[in-house]
Amino acid sequence: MSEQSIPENAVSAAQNINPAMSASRAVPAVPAPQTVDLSYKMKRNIGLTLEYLFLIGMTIFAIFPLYYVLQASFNATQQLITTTLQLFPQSPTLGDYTYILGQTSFLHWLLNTTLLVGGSTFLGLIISVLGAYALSRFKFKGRLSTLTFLLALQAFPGLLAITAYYQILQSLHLTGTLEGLLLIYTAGSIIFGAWNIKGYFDTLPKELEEAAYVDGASPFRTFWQIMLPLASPSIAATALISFIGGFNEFALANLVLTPNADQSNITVTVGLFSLANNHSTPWGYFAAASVLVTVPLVIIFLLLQRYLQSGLTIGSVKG
Amino acid sequence: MLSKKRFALSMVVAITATAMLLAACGSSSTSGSSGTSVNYSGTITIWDDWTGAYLSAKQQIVNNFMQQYPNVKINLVTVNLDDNKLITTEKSGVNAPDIVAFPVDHIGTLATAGVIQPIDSYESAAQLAQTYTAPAAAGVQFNNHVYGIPEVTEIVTMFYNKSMVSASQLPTTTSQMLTFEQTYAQQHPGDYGLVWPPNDAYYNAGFFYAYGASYIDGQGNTQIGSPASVQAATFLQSFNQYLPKSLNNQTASALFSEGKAAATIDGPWAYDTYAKAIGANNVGFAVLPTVDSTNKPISPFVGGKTFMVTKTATNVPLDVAFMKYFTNESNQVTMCVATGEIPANLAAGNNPQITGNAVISAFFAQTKNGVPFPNTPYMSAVWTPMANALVADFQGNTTPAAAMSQAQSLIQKGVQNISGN
Amino acid sequence: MLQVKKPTIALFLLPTFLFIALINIFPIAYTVYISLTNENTFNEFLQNYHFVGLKNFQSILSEANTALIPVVLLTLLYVAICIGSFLIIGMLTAMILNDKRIRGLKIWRALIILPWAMPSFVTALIWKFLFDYNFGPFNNILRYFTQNVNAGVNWLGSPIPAFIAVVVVNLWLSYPFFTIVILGALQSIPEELNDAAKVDGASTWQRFREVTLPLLVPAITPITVMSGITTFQMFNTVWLITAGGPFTDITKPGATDFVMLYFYNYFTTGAFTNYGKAAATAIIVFILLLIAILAGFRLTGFNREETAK
Repeated sequence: MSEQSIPENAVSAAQNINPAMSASRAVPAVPAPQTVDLSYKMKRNIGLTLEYLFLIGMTIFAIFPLYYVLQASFNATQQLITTTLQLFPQSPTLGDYTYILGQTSFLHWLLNTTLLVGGSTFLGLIISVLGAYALSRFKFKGRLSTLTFLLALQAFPGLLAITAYYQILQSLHLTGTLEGLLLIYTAGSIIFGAWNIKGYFDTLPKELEEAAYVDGASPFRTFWQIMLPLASPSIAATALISFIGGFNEFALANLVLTPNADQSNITVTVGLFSLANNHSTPWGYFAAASVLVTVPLVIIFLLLQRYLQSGLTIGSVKG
Repeated sequence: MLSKKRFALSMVVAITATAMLLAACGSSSTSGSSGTSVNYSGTITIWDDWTGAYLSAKQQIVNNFMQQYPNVKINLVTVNLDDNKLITTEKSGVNAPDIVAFPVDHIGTLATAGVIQPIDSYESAAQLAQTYTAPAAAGVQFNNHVYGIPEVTEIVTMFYNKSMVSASQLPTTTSQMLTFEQTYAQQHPGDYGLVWPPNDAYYNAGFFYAYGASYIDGQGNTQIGSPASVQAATFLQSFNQYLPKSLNNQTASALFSEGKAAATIDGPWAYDTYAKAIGANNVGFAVLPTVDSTNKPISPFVGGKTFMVTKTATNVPLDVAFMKYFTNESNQVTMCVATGEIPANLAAGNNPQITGNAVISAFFAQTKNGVPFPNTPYMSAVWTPMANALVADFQGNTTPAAAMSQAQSLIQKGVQNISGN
Repeated sequence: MLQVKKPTIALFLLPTFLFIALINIFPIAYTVYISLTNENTFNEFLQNYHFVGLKNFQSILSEANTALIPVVLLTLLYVAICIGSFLIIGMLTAMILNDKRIRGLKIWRALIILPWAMPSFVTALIWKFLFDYNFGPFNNILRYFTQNVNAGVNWLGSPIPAFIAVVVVNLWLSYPFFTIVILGALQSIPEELNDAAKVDGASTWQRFREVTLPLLVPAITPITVMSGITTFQMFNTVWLITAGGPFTDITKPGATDFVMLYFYNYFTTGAFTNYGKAAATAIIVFILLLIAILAGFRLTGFNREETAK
């Protein structure tokens, strides 16, 4: 009973306040009040301090396990863990890094993976952003059922149908190739991309395009020149998610790719697992390689960061 | 004393005998002269999982072979060895290997799946028995056919840290094992006596076989629910008062490496890590103890790596010739001295360079108490239920009898899943 | 809604549908076909498998009738708790990382997405160790502060702590994903809107609930649903940490035996090598998930706002 009453209250409260809010949406920005009383300032400072504390807490949460990976990567033995509480490994060595970089085709794997996943992310984005726009903005019969249908497809547990993907590639004569994987990774990112970007388009005000259409711009031009730039935060987020998802994929890549003699044609995860054998896993190598792969991923993230900002203001809507 | 071992031995003999019979029938048609008709040209692609020091030692043998036969080109491809991967690759034929160096327990699955071919006409069971150690020769035979040439043998044995305990203090019977755990922990608070992964079906197999229970046979029959098996599980459960509750492969290995455990049970693959961690001079070996009630030594699985010829292999005589070359006495001796692996070749095992090597000879000694690693496909029904049962047993979540009978029912269901349809 | 000519709509949607028809629909159809056969590791290469009708489904469902419902409910509980915590932590982190007063925003953002960038098969085992009863840092820290060597939670050995552990690990793996999407979505809310609400005297919480949240909902619905799907199908990470356990009776589902682990443990003999049964499993999981999604839509009225437009 009480559970039901909460949303009702929330709805009525929202109705009470929302008109004022939506009204203020049309009102040009009002300069912040000049007179700031002390308690407000204190509140602000407490708020900011709390924010910093939360950030520090989250950073510890994020990094704590990674510290152990780092420690394992500098450890002289191939152990993943240590039962001694210690800050640094007892005899740190770069051996695992020199092995990964010198004795394996790691840089090839990294290049292959980056090209493969970069390609599938790019292709997937182009396709899904078009679909997302149509699904968000165009009026057509079956729009809702299309959305539900896409989601339904996503619910299929692909891990259990892995041989089916292999069949497709075999009929296309693409087994053993990165191109074949590219095709499947691309398809894998489309549904999420279309849904995610569509959700973002939904939040954007329609006044902009309506004005453009009234001015006689084609749907493609409106899409390309007005909507696409505005959707950049969502596109960047989607790109990152597709990229990292593809980067860590193992099961399909392992089935599809057959290494050549110098192992230069495989991806990072497939390459890494080839270093393990039936009884022993070289955790030192795995840890070192894990640390190494985060470097390009973080660089890509830093590059994408500026697209996570959007220039959207009420001014731009009105203008 | 040796009823179980004798049984295992007689099985080996029986298998060998039937295989010999079959091979004799086969060889009359293909004639024994196949060795001379080898066409030494072409490319051999080999799938293996060799890395690091292993790879360089093995690459050397490959290079020597190519030098001897300049028209032969051999590609070593390091892959994550996986049955499904091999099956799909063989099916598509793209980049398919000619030889695979898989762990021996894969033979049953791969042979049943039809992706590897019998090589009886090139290497009979009798020849195998002459050239290779008994467990190695038994491991490569499945359904009365020879499916491979054994490369190396693998087994677990007891490692101990000479700076923590002397050889004379080590337990030689199971009752001593328990006393050792207790007294060592009492005398050295915070440290442990003997640690090993109590949750791992492979590491613990030796206990079950020594108590008289087998995991699985070629027909898919299991004795996991038998009284003997419950006895083994009861024995294993009794360690939970002395050992860390959360002991597993990772922590056991870390404890021994960090000098917090006096002894551990592990295989040749772990030697490098331990030698680096506690110093090669401190690593000692001992044969695993004997079970008091049955008077049988703990009998770990004797497995190993085996060369097999795939269905799509183009030049089978050449492939087999290479496999035999790779595993001949002199190559095995050089290789095993470099890698610390246990040779599968009988003569190599008796070579002074090998018998003089403390590490290899320690493992070699343990193989005498071992049982052949089941190579039946039904084995895949054992791993998960057994691992879960061992955890529940060791943690004391269930009685040993309940854990074993539950494992038994799950294994039987798994066997049905494999053989059914 | 914009009124656009049909061919234009078709052009926008065509690439999506082409790819989906080729890569997404075929495997489903193929899986349905395989689920009706007895294909497995042993007859795949030799191609001597044959149709067995609904036998795979029958054998799974007949054995599953006692356990399947508890397993599905357990999985749904896991999904609900995970998604709830992803949303709360993701939202908080994103809002703070969107606060221009914070110094070094770029660095904080990069630090907080790190868990996501590292291969999860390595980090999953690290987490297993962090939760280790005897040697794990969590219990060691607890022992240090309580000065009691016997203190400590048997994280992976008792049911509720093990469940909490796999929630925490999944949170760690997934919250960066939510943070990034919400951070992006926050960009669609013009700052002026918040400022205006501030002038109106709205408190932080009111501003969040009345201004930010309603505008975020359309943008975060997709990840919420998608992440719900992946959590429902969670396998690798949980497998590496608890393998579905702890078990008191290994023939019955363990405390973290979610749908995929349960099927893996009980119906495919520890490996998905019985392709017929694995395919039937896939279809059953697929149908279960579809029911859950449609029920979720019905409950949240997800499609209502769609039609209102």
